[in-house]
Amino acid sequence: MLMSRDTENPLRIFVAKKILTMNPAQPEATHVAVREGKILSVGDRADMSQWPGAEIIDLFEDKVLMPGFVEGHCHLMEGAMWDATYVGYYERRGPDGRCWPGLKTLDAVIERLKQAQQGMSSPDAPLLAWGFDPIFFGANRLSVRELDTVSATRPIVILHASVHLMNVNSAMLSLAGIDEQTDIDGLAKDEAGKLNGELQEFAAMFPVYRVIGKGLAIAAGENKQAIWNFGRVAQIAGVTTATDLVNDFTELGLSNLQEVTAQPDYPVRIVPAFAPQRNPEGGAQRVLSALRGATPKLRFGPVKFIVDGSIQGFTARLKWPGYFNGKPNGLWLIPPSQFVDLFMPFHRAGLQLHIHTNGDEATELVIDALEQVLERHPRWDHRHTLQHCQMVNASQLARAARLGLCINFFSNHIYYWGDAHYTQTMGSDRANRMNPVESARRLGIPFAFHSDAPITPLNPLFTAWCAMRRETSSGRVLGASERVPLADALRAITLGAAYTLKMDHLVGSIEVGKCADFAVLEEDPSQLEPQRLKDLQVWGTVLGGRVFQAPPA
Amino acid sequence: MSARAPGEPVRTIPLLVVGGYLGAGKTTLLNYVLTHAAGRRITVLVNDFGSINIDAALLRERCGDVINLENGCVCCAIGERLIETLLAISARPEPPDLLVIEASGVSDPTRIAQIGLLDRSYRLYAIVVAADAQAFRQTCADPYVGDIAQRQIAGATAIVLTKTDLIEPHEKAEVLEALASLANTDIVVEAHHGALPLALFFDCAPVSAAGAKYAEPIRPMTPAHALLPASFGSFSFSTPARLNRDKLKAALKNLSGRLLRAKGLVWLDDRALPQEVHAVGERILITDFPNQTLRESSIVLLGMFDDKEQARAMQALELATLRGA
Repeated sequence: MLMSRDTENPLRIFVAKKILTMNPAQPEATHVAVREGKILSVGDRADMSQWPGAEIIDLFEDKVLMPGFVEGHCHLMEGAMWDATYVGYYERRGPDGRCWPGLKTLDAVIERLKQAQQGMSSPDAPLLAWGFDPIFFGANRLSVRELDTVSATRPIVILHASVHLMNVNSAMLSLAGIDEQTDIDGLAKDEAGKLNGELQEFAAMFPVYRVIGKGLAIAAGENKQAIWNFGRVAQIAGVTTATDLVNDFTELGLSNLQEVTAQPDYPVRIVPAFAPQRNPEGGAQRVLSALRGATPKLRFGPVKFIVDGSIQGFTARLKWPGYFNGKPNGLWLIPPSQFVDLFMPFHRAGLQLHIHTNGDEATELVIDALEQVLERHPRWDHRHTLQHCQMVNASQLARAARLGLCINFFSNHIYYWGDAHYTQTMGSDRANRMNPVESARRLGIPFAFHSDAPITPLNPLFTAWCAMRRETSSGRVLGASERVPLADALRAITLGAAYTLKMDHLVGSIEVGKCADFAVLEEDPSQLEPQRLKDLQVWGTVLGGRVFQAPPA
Repeated sequence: MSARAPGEPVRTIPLLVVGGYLGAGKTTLLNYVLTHAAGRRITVLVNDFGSINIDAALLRERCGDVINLENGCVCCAIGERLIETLLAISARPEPPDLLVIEASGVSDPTRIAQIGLLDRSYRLYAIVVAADAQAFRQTCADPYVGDIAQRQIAGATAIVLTKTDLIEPHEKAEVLEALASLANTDIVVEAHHGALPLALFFDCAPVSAAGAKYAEPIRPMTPAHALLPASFGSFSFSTPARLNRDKLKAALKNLSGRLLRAKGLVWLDDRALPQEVHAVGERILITDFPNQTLRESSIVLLGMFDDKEQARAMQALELATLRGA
């Protein structure tokens, strides 16, 4: 019996140059013993003598191991986007590991579209692209004229990074039946009154979706290939646990997730959060039922609500003085008077709320509501989490701390939109206090930070760099006093994020009893120049003891 | 790819968007529409988060085709569901005679309504916003949702004032004044015991390919007839002359405060084909109408026009013709 058990579950010892464990009782080590997908022992060579007969794996002798990264707020939609061509301003790696350099000029965008077209066999299949952001091109716009130089006959659609706008060519305009004679908002025109092909917001984009059908990420969760691509993008960034923080919990979607994550070579543990706003049926019971189908690689429990919009889209709900450039206040997705009634059944069912609140008015009213919920039905260790929480102020942080809330900040915003926040959306005072991670840390609030992929690239080391350095893409530092120390930044992308998902007993640190999930790094992040953290190379991951090497860039 | 060949006729689904803050009476409005459907096949898309379960149960009794869409808004990841649903409805072998979208109590109904001014499958008929006479001023003063309630009124092409029986006449006057200062339409209708002019919701004279029948005036139907404001009605403008596009648009825009909607088939100065004109409030859509046999241009207008205003409107339209210039 003993023999057969040992053959089926071999004992292996991974040897590394250094292991950063995130376990304060044993911060560093060089050896980690693994059996049955779990960590059996952590220590140095001498400690390992307790485990004779182990297979020694020296593959990581010159690498540094950390706990596998945990991304607490991202979306499977990231995986669906890669069916289209990436045309973003910043470098990004696809599921195949290929590095797509950022496109710094409109000519470069056109050039990439031309290359993509060369690879297409059908002459009239639509050419779809994503990740474009006009904010980086000043007054220069991508218009029908430029896109028609790629093709005037094949329909072309470029979805913007915000996913609220798109650019199309003349063939697409004509297929969608859009011409100058319509009078709706959201059809951008040039000085001569001609359509320039930029379609803004839902109504203007709708006729395009009619033509392209399931293209550009519609129904990502129900597409197995998207789940695979998502897993690969995460794995390349060193991630071993990732959320899908808006999920319908449809039968098809859940069975796809069951099937794909059960594959031994699927590299990530997935945590889908049920979003009642996307699926009105079932309520809390839907999550409780799903829990029965949980596996080590598919976890349930979080419930997601979205109460306001985005800051860069001017749809977040702000307190006085509102938007810096004078735009009207944003949108509620749920009437504030209904918060308590909507949150309560999930709270009482013992589930965990993850609530998107971008603006400070939204944050305040959600804190008010959670206060009422907890007053009526106290619950220990609820770990309800404010997601994004970008504009939270000091008094709100104090209340969040008292209520035992966690906060998962959107720190990537500082780099990607920080300059726009400084000059357009928030002005200096509030841009400097955005995503105040250090204040939260001082108050003892459990915190994490995230990418919200596909909104920004899924890369926890980069996100940690953003929270630690607070530099915008132009190099401006927003609120140096909110910079978080390196050690806390590294904890936030591992144990911190695991805590917000109630998974800190399973993942997030390298210690006995936890999953053998590691990020394998080329260098030691604790010894790097802080500025270089974002450039640290990830060799790959280990998930439940299984090695996943990232493809070369 | 599901695009149609150019020129292929498209059956458009009339779209009615019902908006208004929580408790303003949207469900009552919907029930009224369904009760008076008179054989029309109506699909209702309920987009109101929270109150949904009660509402939907009521609605289902009436028409059996209710789609719950608890997404509250048309925003990024959760807007997908709305796109999928609208695509699915228009792809049905037998599309409904009317799609009613009940917008969330905190959403701006014009955002959804614009679908009906651009997409070829939907044609906007009205954005009817309900306002609770008793609570309206308090809602507008609310620090968190007041701005949104005001935006809803501004986007309406017709306003239905509910619960007027619960307030004093002088209070009603104050509410009407508040509405007038926010609204871009003059069309404010009171719901008397739940009765409403059906012309707010239905077109009684659908477009016919021949165009002849089209010019018939839109007649308000019973039982709402008696309840229409005295000046609420329709009239038509016809001319053998071609119209200037920009002047026509300007003329219709000038009338937009009183206009519920206008529809017409016209010859314009800049197009070889006849054009279909569709105006809802201040928004105007002009598209090719592939029928060379149209003899003269005609437009039917429905709204709050008394005799004097009707005459002024006719004159303004006459000035938009090449003859008038």
